Amino acid sequence: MTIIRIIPICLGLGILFHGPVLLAQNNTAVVPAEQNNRSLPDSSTRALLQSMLRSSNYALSKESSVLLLQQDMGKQISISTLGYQTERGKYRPYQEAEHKRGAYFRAEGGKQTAKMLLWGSFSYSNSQLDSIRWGHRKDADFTTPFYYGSQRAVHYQQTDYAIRTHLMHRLTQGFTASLSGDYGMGDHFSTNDPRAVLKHFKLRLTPALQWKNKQLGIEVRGLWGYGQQESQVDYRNKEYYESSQYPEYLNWLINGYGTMRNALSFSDRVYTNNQDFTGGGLAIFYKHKSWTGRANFNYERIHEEYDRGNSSGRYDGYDMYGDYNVDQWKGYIELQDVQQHWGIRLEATQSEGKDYNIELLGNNYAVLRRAAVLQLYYTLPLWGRPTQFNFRQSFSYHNQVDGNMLIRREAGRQLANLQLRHPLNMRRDQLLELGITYSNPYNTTFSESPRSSNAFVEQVIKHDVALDKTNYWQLQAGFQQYFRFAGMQWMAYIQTQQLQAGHADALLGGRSRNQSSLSVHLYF
Amino acid sequence: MQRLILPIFCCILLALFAASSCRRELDSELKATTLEVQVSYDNTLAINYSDQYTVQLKNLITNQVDSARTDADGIARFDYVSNGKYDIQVTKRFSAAAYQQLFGEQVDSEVTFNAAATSYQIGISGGSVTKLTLTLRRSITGDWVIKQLYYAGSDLYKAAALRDNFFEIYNNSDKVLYADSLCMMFVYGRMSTTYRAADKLLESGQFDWTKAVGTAPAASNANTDYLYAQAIYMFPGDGKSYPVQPGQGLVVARSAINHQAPFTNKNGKVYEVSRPDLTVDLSKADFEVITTPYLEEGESASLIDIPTPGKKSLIVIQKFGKTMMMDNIGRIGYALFKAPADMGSWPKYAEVKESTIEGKTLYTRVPKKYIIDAVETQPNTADRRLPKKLSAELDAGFTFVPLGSYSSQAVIRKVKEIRDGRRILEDTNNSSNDFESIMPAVPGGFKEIK
Repeated sequence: MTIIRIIPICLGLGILFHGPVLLAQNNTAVVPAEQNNRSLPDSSTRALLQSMLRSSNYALSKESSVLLLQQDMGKQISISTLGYQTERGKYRPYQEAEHKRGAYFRAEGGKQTAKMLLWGSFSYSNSQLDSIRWGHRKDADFTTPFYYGSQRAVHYQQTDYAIRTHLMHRLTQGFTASLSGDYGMGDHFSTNDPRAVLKHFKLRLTPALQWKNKQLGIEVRGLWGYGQQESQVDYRNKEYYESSQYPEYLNWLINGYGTMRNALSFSDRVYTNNQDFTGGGLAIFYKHKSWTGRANFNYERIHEEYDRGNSSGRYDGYDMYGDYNVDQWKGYIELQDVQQHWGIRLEATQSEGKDYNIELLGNNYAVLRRAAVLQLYYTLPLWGRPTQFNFRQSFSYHNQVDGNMLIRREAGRQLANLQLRHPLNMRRDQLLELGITYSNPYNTTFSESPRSSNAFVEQVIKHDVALDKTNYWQLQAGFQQYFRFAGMQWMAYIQTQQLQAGHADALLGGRSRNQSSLSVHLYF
Repeated sequence: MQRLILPIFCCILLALFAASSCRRELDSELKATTLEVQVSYDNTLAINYSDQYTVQLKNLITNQVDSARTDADGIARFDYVSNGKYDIQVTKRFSAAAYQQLFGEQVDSEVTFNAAATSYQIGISGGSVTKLTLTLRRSITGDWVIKQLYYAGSDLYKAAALRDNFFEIYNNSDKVLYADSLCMMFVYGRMSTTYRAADKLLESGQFDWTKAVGTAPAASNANTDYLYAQAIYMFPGDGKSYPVQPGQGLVVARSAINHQAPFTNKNGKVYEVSRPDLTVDLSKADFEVITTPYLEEGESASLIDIPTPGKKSLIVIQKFGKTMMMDNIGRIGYALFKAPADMGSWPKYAEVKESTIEGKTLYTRVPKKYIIDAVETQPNTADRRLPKKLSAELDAGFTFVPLGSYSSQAVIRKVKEIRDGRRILEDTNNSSNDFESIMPAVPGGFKEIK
């Protein structure tokens, strides 16, 4: 395991710290041509870090499209980030920690020449969750119907690694081909009873073909991948073994949204979630002399199968609980001016999941998540300095049903956010960020079985339904400081957000939550 | 045209924005059903349903128990029943007078009828109404009852593991009974939740013994009129050797020693007991079971199967293993019977998946008509439970130790009443109602009446 961890770290660091620098040294002849083109916006990494529009474009394109990444990253980019963040407060989903803190390291870099593009990133994060209930599973990918949980609060620690690479090569005039790889793995564990260990990995490959000229570019891509999550739950104290006499410690396998079965027997303590990823996507850009239009669409089907075994024989005589399909659509379209003084973007996502539960002999669990985000970017001179404004309006909708427990929960939420980033001096090495958010619910409905209920429904679902019905305000403030140190370029960033719910609900236990972070960025 | 680009674009965005965030109904294939349980009898007697019957419904996923009373047609209705597995049971007790009035048969004491469906699956095929018929059968009641079963054992390292297993039988009548030739049978059946020969299982999931090979052809009534013995142990005596007074019992130990003291096996290895409170003193047990004399020639004996001086062993009619093995997980049943016939001539059968009896473990076929009392045990967790081995007239339910293997827990029959200083134990032939757990076990004792 250690070797498996070390290899990607070394590879990641090798590529990211040395690769771009070496490539830059070998290809310096290409750079001045663009630097001399004064009609284009500043394509430096610092400008990317400072611009809300550019950095959001870059964040979207590096996730999915090499064609668009090529437009956003400039000729070369290298950013290494070391950060610490903390989140505290009782206003949270029930399965989330009251206090969460974590450190992370991210390094990403890329270089493009006339013939090829190489981009890579490595990230490491370590989080400590003071206590979580009903969720021995904290990977944030997507919700699945099978996971372990207990009423007893457990301290949780999770470590995740991820590597992402894009490699594009020119085939012929206008045509390029690319291959993107996405590899992630991690260990999550709790040490108090009931103990849990979660290991996961995934590998996703995206081959793509691009065609472009100076005005128009089109990319068609596919997706293939697989992954696995393995959960193992055990106890340190033997008296909790196979016992329903200690309900707080009792482990349940949540196999729907509210349906649960006890997971006491030895053979239940390891379960494996095998995943397959398939899909495809399309990206397009069009450049006019004064504006650029872009669009990116992605479809992905995630197929999951759940097997159980035991911790000694592992898969000897394992059973299959069921399978689960998630269909995910993601897309955005945007328009921005060439100088990137303004931009407008609509992002939309939909995720729809449906299981087949072998124990209940039918589809029991279904989930639908939808979100639409409209963002406006505008740069306006204030006190002689370019001040960026970002208005974000989002509507998200979430519907979960469990046929067995007759649960229906719908929750819509609108969120309006206004944010500004203002340089405090003419050198633009100090930037102040301020923001305000208001969020309120819509379409919140909930129904349950009049006959049966259980601890998960009473504790988790009803808490989250109460959360669905709240409105809240959020204030945010941040500060960026750019400086040189040891001959290199750095940026320090501090940011805090304070959320305050409009009304209290006895089920929620609190009305506020604060999230703060501090990070240092080394960039080239 | 250029000036129109932005407004057109914004209009498209707003239209998409509105469309992509609206609500939508979701559906699940699983839907609640109304469960209608028709309660009937196994004979043609016309029953007056004005005397209502209470049907109990236990959800094996949530452990939630509901009950409903039958209507004038003998139907109990449960609305909004979720899909899943359920134990459903109905018990009806008649006083001797009421029974005589209803059935026209004279009896001395109370009569109990039981009916049950265990692990009953309600699935999507059931539709909006799921119908089930439970047929009440008169329970077999006898003067002897199985009083206590200590199969789980105690801590593997700090106590006696499974060496301290015992069972206890009890004279629940008001007259002296003789234990001579009484047999305790360990009832065999499915031992695992998965089985590779699915075509040789009944609809209930239990073995279809009509498809088993044995020393005689399987009878067509092999499943309905017989039980299959993993082991049979018989009390010695010539008919009047071992009298048992009313309200008294007999404790039969795997090894009749004080398990709270260190144990030395045949090789001289000493097993310390650091937690004597977790195990029991069986030095006062009435009998023990020593299997070594019954082993085949050349078969090595168990290192712990040591006769205790002054203690008599039950006669091993059929052995299972090299010492008395009460399944510590709770996967077997227990039945007391007294047979007039020569048990040695009874046919034996291999497990249904086998195609030959050569070299296979064989299970003796025991007629149900000889059964005096029977108790089914099951694993403590719902998902490990097995199809029932005992039919409703023998045991409509099952019992288990909540803490499972090595927990020091035993199951013990509840005390129904104390009459003239004699404890009368509960015997409705439904061990779910008749038994409770106790920790630690109390050989010869009772659980305190609360």
